[in-house]
Parts: sequence; C-alpha cells; structure tokens
Amino acid sequence: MKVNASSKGRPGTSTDLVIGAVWAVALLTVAWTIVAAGLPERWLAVCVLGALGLLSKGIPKRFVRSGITLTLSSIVLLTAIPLVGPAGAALVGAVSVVGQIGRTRRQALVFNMAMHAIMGGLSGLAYLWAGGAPGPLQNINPMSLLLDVGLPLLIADLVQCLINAVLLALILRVSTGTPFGAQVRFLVGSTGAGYIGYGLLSFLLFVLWVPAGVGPFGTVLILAPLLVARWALGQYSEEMQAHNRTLTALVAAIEIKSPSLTGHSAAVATVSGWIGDELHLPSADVEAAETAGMLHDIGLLGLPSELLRPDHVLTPAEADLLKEHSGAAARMLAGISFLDRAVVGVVNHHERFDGTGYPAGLLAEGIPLIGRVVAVADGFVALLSPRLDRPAFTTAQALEVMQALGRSAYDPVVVSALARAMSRHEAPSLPDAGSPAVVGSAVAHDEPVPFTTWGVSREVEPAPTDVVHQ
Amino acid sequence: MNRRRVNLTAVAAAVVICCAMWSYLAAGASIAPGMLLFTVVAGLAITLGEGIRTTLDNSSSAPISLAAGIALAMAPVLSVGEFMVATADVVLVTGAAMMVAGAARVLAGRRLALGDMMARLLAVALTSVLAHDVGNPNQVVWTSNPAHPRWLVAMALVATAIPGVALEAALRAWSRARAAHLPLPFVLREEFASGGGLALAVVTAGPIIVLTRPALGAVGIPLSLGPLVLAQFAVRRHAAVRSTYRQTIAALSRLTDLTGYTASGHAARVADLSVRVGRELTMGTEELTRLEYAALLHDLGQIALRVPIPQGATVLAAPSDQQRIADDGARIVRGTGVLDDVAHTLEFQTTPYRQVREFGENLPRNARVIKVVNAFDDLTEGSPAKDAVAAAMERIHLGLGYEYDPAVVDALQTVLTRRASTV
Repeated sequence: MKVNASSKGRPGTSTDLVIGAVWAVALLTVAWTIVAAGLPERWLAVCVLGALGLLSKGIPKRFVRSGITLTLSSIVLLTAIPLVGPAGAALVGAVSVVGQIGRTRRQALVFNMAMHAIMGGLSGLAYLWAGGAPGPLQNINPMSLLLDVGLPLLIADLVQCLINAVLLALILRVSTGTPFGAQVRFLVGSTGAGYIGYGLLSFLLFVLWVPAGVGPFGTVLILAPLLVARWALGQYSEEMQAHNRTLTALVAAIEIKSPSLTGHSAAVATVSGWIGDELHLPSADVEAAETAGMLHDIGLLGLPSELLRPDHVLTPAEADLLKEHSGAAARMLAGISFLDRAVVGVVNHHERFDGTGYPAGLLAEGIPLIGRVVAVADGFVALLSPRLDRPAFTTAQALEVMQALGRSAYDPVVVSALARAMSRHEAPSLPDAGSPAVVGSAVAHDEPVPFTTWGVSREVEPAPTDVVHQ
Repeated sequence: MNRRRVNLTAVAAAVVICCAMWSYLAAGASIAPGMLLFTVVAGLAITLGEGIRTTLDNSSSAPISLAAGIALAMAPVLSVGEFMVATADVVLVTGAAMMVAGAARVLAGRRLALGDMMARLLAVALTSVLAHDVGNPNQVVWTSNPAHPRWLVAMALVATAIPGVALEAALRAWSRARAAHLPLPFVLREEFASGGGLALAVVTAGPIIVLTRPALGAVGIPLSLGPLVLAQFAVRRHAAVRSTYRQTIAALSRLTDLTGYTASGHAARVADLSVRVGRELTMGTEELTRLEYAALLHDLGQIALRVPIPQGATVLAAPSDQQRIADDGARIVRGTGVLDDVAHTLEFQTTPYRQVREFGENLPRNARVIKVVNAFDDLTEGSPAKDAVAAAMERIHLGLGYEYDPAVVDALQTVLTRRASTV
C-alpha cells in the first residue's frame, strides 16, 4: 500500500509538516530499537532481505478486483524481525522503498520510506515485547519455535498492519481530506487477512533460513510459489479488465444501433456506482450496480431499428413492445454467471416505488435494491439529456425533480443518496449525441415524469401518492 | 474410449499397489517409531488435498495432495535402507489416503476422476523410488547427513521432486489427448503453458516440508503447503475469469440470434468448427483462442442493419453488404480496446483469397478460416446431413483458390470426414 496524494484539498504545507513529523518518529524509532536490541548481527541477511524488498517494490502490482493483494515486501519486512532484529527490520523497510524511485512522486517516496522504517522498527519492538526470541535459538523443537517465534511474530504482524493503516489514513486525511477513522477501518479490513497470511509465510521462511539451516536459498523455495501466485493474479486482473472492457462492447452495440443513446449507459453506470457508495453497499454490490447501469438498456437491441429512431413517437402498441426490453435483457445476459447480480438490476430498473412500474409491478422494498438504484440513476441521467421539446436540466433542477418524485416513482432513501453523491461529484459528462430525441420516443423512455405533462407546463407534478397507501 | 483410458492408468496403479503389498509383507517392515505422527498428517494432507482440485477441460489436478505425497516419499521417516520397502510404505499410505478421499467423493456424489488420482499415485511412487532406491547412499540417507550444506540438500530435493511432477503432468496430458482426439505434443505444450507455474509450486512444496521437518515436525506440513495453497487459489481465479470471459463473448455472439438477425446457434457452430479446422492447421493455443473469439463475433456487425438478411446468411449477401457488416462488427469489437487482433480478423473475414494470390495482400489466417467455415455453415444451415454437407462442399470447391484458401478447405474436409466417421 502506498500513498498517491491527489491534488484535491490542500496538499501544501500541512502535508509537509506531517511528513516531517513522521520522519522524526521514524528516527526516534530507529534510536529506540538500537538502544533496546542493538545493531543487527547478520549483515548478510540484512543485505539479502534489503535486496529482495527492493526488487519486490520494483514490480508493480495490479491485482484489480482480485480480492487479495500480495505484497512480497511485507513478507520480507516481517521475516527481518526475528532474523536481524528491530533495527535491521527498520533498515530493510527503508531500503525496500528505494525500489519505488521513478515510479512514485518524491513526496510520497519520502513518506513511504519513513513509514516503512517505523513499521519495521516498532513491530520489531512489539516482537521482543511479546517474548520473541531475539537471536539464535537455543533448543529447536516445534513447541518452542511456535511459542518463541511464531506467536510473537503474529503480534508484530498485527502491529505492522495497524501502523500501516494509521499512517496512511493520517497522510490521506491531511492531503485529500478523507475521514481518518473510516479510512483506518477500511485499510485494516482490506489488508488484515493478507497480513495474517504474510505472518505465516514469513514464519516459514524464518524456519527454513535459521533452524532448518537452508539460509538465503530458503527465499527461493518460498518465493517461487509466491511469484507464481503473483503472476497468476496479475494475469487474472488483466483478464478481468479485458473482460470488463468487453462488456462495454455490448453497450457499443446499442449505440451503433441507436446513436442517440451514446454516453447514456456509461453515465448511468457512473451514477449508479456513486449511489451505491453513498448507500455503503459492499463493494461487490457497488460493482454490480455499475455493471447493471452499464447494461440496463441492452434489451433495446431486440427492438426493430425503426422504433429506436429519436424522432419516432411510440404508439401504445409499440410502447408495450418497448416494455419487454428489461426482460429481453435478462435473456441476453443469461449464461454469464458473474453477471447474475447485475442482471437483477437490469431487469428491475423500470419498477416504480409505488408499484406502477414494469415488468412485474413490484412495490417499494419488494423491488431489489440494485433495481431501485439503477432506476434513480437512469431517471436522473435522462433529465440531464436534452430532448427535442425541452432543454437539458441542470444538476440542481434534475435533483429537485427526482426529490419531488421520491416515494411515488423512486425510493426516497436512494434519491437522498443521489443528492449526497451529487454534492460530492461533478455531473457525469454526456457527449453530444446528435439530434435530441422527442419525448415519447423509445430513446426517451426513461423520462421520470409521464411525458404528457411536459407539453402543459415545466412544473413537476408528482404522481398521485394514494397508490402507495392502498 | 473414455473408459479404456481410465483403466490404463488405474491398472498401472493397481500393479504398483500389488508390488508394494508384496514387498511390504515379504520384508515385514513398518514405519519407523516416532514418525507415525508425521506420516498420519501427511496422509491427512493427501486426503484433504484431493478435495481441492483444479479442473480444466475434464482433467483434474490436486497440487496439494501431490505435494504432500512427494514430501512423504522424500522424507526420511520410513524404513530407511530396506530395498523397495520404504517405497512400499509410501505407496500404501498414499494409496490409502487417496482411497479415503475417493470414497468421500463418491459418497458426496462428486466426480471421482480415478485416472487422474492414480496418475498422482504413480508420480509419488516414482519419487519414492528415486529417493529410496537409487544411488548409494540413497537420497534419503544423504539428506539426513548433517555434514552436507542444507542449501545443497534443498537443491537435491527439488531435483528429486521434478520427475514425479513431470510424470503426473504428462500422464494427464496423455489421457486428455486421447479423450479429445488431440495430438499429444499439442496437449503437452498447452499443459506446460497453463500448468507450468503451478507445477513449479508443487516442486518446491515437497522439499520445504522435508527441510522444515527437523524443526517443526508434523506442524510443518500444513504450514509448508501455505504458499502452494495461495498459488493454487490464484491459478483457479485466473481459470475462472478466463471462463467468464468466454461466457461474455458467447453472450455477445448470441445477440444477433436473439434479435432475429441470424439463425440460432450459427455463431457457436462456426466457432466450434473453426477451432477444429484451426487445430488441423496446427495453430497454437493463443491463436486458437483468438480464432474462437473472432468466429463467435463474426456476425456482430449485423446488429447495426436496419433490415435483417434472410436467415442471417452473409454468404448470400452482396459483397459490399458483407464488408459493411464486417466493418461494423470490427468497429464494435475495436471499441473494447482489448480485442484488437480479433477486430483485425473481422475486418478481413470477407476478403476473397485471390487478394492474397494476386496482390500479395497479407490476409490473417484466422480470417481465411472463418470465411470458409462461415460459408459452410450458411450453406448447410447447420445440418449435419450427408447430402447437405456434400452440396455445401461442392459449392465451396467452386470458389477454391479464388474465394477460399485451398489449405483451409482441405483442413475442413479432413475435419468433416473424421466427424462423419465417428458419428
């Protein structure tokens, strides 16, 4: 985990101050480790571990959406604790950051170096405090190894995870204004399981190195399978990205068939994701909401091209045909097992909160949440698009309409999440899609307000609410 | 066919088990005292490891079980020094552990895959023979000598583990080649490309267990298998995303079916036949995957048509229309930004072969295959009936060399002849 300070907020002096403070803490930590445990004795091991840390930092890790991260440098840092003591660990930590030169901004590099030194030093002290054996072991048997090395190493491991989370959250708080407590919880939650794995692996590496007497060659035995895992995860995330890009081809197919829809799906996807974040949905659900937003109108491909012309007002019979598009989408996406969750959102994105929607006419909480999210995003983005008979709404106007429709057409909870999201983000950009669609056309089928009201006045008329309380 | 294949490996394993029984009984040897716990834990790891399989194309591997078996074969825990007896112990313990796992699988209603399991048993037996019965002193005794530097011992252990792991991979490739009627060198190459990384992890896991045994004893077994578990998990995730990717491409290919542009199942049939033809032309795995994707997506461009072509049969459409469809499809695919080579193939899928001959144009081989197979499927309308196939091939032969690549048409003919003889 490393810092990527963005330009938001005030990155200037306060960030520099914090980095200075972190460096002061780092130097104090190193002094403390030397006083408490002395300088490292195995300089060869320090060199080998430092080199490994340096190399592992040099390999970029891009395990997008893989669910696990594999940071070889964490294993190296933990192994250093029983092998070369707290001072050695601090040194290995600082050295391993050198591998980032040229890949990371200088400010982040300086911070990361101090952070890794603190992580190595303090967790090394925690190891000693927990009764960890400092130097060569007297008697080697499974029990003493587990109690005198394994257990203290696990504690050092947890300390390291915590320091990492706290320091990162601190710098993010100062440079980008991310809330501190939430960020710490997020970081511990997302890296905690990985750290337990690192603890076990570094214990194994230590056992191979010292008690089993294999020495530095042990790293080859341990790291070979880890590199395989790393390679497979790298391949995995590349294919995952390729896969996601390929999904957009489905959307491109609609846009080739109906150019007036260009950009609509991408915008609905973005807004759906924002709403999901605001509702604090689990990340898998947020992703599903995004995908559902991307694919929500895929069923339109089943309509004859004539009906998709932006200037064609649908007859009632044609409108009935149009209503089949959410069900048609489910048939098209069937068989893509990982889309199961997103398909729920696609199928239900025209259900209305008051039960007047289609295809099933579900009511209120009976509509799956992801369907309610995509519905709100879809309606909101539709308002931001210009129509032949009205100009595009501004974000504020569109939000007002959506809020007025909360409880009748839309879930008010989701609408207020939309409002919160829009206070944080710029409105999604919609490319110029050529001639605007006429209200009542297939392209404009997602207009939140029944189109008959548009010709009369620009005022918003919420749908009658008594339907809800029947 | 399939049944006979399973039997061959299983029979070999049965012979090994019988030999083990015989030498065990003849010598009356047994597990060295104090090593019982290690043996039991290793057996347990084999049993549990059999439950964590990675299945690819009907061939399943269980790296954890194999690694634990190899560790058992190389660890100095069994009756050291008795000729073949230690190997008998190893084979019997491993075989028993696998039997338990197999019984559990049958009871749970999961696929047994006896052949693959026996391939692992043979690999363990081979490792044991190499460790106990080759050289003087043999590897196990040599390893136990504290005078040898441990890093050298580590290397020797890795070297001993390699042949067994290679044997297992080769046996699996061999049975897969037989089941799918594929040439063995092709499957071996594929096996190496897809499973090579995991095999590397297996080769190191056994030695780690042996090396940490003096310090950690039986505790070292689950701990040492940790990196391997991680590697297997990662490889499985990779395999899973590959298959969802395929699902997505297949769903894309069905779009034109569902929207009434093309005959149902056309794209899937063209893809299947194209891959067979591609194999006949000795294409590599990567090229075959691209060919399959391009074949699945070759009619995608029809989605942009205002009026569907009758039956979606592009072979009957005017050349300019064919090219427009191809270009629209390529445009959609290019938009993904990741399938550029597939888009390239799609652009050229209607180009007649004579452009190559006359103008020296560089026509992708994939595009030539798809052109021929697409024409074949449009003309037969997917019917496997003998006269439909003959009529279609006759028509394709009319365009030989002018419209179609003769080498591809020959390969198609070979594939069709083989298909006719097996059905």
